[in-house]
Amino acid sequence: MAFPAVKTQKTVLIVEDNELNMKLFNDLLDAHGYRTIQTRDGIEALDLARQHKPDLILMDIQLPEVSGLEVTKWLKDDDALKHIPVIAVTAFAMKGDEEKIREGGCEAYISKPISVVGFLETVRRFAA
Amino acid sequence: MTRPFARHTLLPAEDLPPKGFAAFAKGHLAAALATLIALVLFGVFAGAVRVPEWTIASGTILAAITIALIDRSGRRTLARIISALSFALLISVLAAFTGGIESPFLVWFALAPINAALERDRLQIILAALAAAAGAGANMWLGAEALLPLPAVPEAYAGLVAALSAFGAIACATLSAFGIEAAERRQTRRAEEGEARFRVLAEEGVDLITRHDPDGTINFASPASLTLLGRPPRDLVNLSPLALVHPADNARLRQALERASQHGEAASVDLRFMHANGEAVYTELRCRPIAPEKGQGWRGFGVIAVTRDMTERRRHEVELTQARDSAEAANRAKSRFLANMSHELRTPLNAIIGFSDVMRAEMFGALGNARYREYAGLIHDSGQHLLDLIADVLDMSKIEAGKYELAFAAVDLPGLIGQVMETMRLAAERAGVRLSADVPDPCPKLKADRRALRQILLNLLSNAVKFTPRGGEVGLTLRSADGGVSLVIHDSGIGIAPADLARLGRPFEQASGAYERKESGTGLGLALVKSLTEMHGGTMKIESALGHGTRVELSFPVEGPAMREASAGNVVAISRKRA
Repeated sequence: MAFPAVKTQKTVLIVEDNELNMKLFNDLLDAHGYRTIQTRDGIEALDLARQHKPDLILMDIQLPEVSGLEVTKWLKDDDALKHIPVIAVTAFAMKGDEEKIREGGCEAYISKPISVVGFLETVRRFAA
Repeated sequence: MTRPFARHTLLPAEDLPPKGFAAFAKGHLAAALATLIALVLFGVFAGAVRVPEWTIASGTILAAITIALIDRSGRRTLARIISALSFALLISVLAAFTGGIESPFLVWFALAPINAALERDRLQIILAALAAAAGAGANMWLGAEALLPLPAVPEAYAGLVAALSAFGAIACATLSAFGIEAAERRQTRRAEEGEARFRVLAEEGVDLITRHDPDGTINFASPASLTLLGRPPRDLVNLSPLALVHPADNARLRQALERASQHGEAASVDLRFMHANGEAVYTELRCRPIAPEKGQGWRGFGVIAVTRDMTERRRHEVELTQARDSAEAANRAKSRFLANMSHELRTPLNAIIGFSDVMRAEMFGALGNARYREYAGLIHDSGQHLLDLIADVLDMSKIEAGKYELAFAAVDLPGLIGQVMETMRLAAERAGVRLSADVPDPCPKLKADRRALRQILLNLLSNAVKFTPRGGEVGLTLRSADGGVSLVIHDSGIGIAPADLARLGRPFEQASGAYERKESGTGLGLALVKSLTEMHGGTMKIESALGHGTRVELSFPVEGPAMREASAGNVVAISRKRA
């Protein structure tokens, strides 16, 4: 598969507490020309977002300490950060979960396990 | 006159004490008969029948006939009054012809009110007394004015007639006295019987019966107080029931008693009485005013209360509530568990499916060996399979909890079948199985839940593909059937042994050992198909022959579940004879 050329390198903040899934997302994004910032901690995610102003945030919902929904709420309450799109990438895939998560302020929802093609497509759309 | 006093059919039996009135009427008949005989005798003795005799005789007979007629119409009071008046008239006439105010028959006037007393009606007694007094007065007046006819009784018989009259009067008065006494006795006995019945109710009943003064003070308590409250009835008398209940229930009891005693209304209240042993007894107390129709005393109505022990019922209610609560808690726990399980399984599956997908696509350059690519594909497929299983488990548990909701709408069957065929195409190609669909044009209409129908078709087709060896075929046939739609999925696969057929369609049972090759699966797929079909009001039928294939037929009513009762799934084993 050819790596598409990215004119100006986009930065994606990945909030994910599972090491393997973090590696998967990181490798996929890295391979497709994105710069990644990683954290497994919701509170740190907020600090990193302020510091790096990423183009996109991938947000796991079940996190230690605070939930991804809570972090999303903080992000959307912050005038300096609320323009950054948040894509929930979560294993909460029961009926009604997507509605709840979208209501919580996430711009998009991807259920785990991901389809690689669909995942990259969604990232491309929101990071543009 | 065979049955002159047949009871009037319009009268309810209890309105007319048969003995009383029949005796009364019979008395009059007897009197009429006696008069007839007397008339004949008199004619023999006196040689001629004159005006007074005729008057007496016809009066008596007329009275009897009138009474007989009235008996048939049921107006007893009128009969009594006519009787009393005609009696007074009779005696008056008789007296007038036998010496006026000095007549020996005058004593019979005294019988008039006595006879009326039989009826226990004060008005009738007064009426009879007045009529008799009027008769006597008339005789006095006639005597004073010298208008009396000559005495009809010959001088020689005067003594005899006087004696007969006296004895007759005594006899009649005695009979009346007996009648009154008997009626009195009957009434006393009835009252005693009624009281005995009430006493049995009060004394043997398990409910506590109490009677209260208008201010609530207990003036009677039934022996049930001993079992209910641990106190003998005499200990309750003169107490206020407010002192016997749990302090928290005091106000409610007072309200209930006041409603009965002050407003004359029945009231019911649940409250705790305090048993002598200090324990609270859960009871229901119902009270009502005593004889409210008689009006309120200056302090209000007396009150009667029935108190029932509700301990058992309350215990049942508590147990039921606890059972329901724990069932609900268990159900919530199950839902939480399933949600957690789904989340926890999906998290590692994400890595499995994601990485194998990357490898399969050779995203970072070619894999060194074709086998590695194959293995990456296998890992990916297995991950997907695991994911399907999670979905099946969740769906099945939702169906079993009655939480799987269907949305019925007209389904575009050719479109849906086309999509499903497309989804299955790759798997069929990989398995080397020929896949075909036969849908008629125009296609029959069906109201169903699209998602469920898709799941049904995918489950059945992937089962068929999984159990059909390379080179075999799997087909889907849609037909209009008797008031509905028939969907058949058939394969030329390994088939199912008859012994295993019966177990199919039950969750978590796979027809193990029946397959020539071991296949993974929980057996949930078919159970889901069966449940979802039945939720549509349809039926599932499986025919299979080992080594020759399986045919699953689903029948759906056109209009959804309302058209046909959901029946237990028909799983039929048919051994096909093959040459």
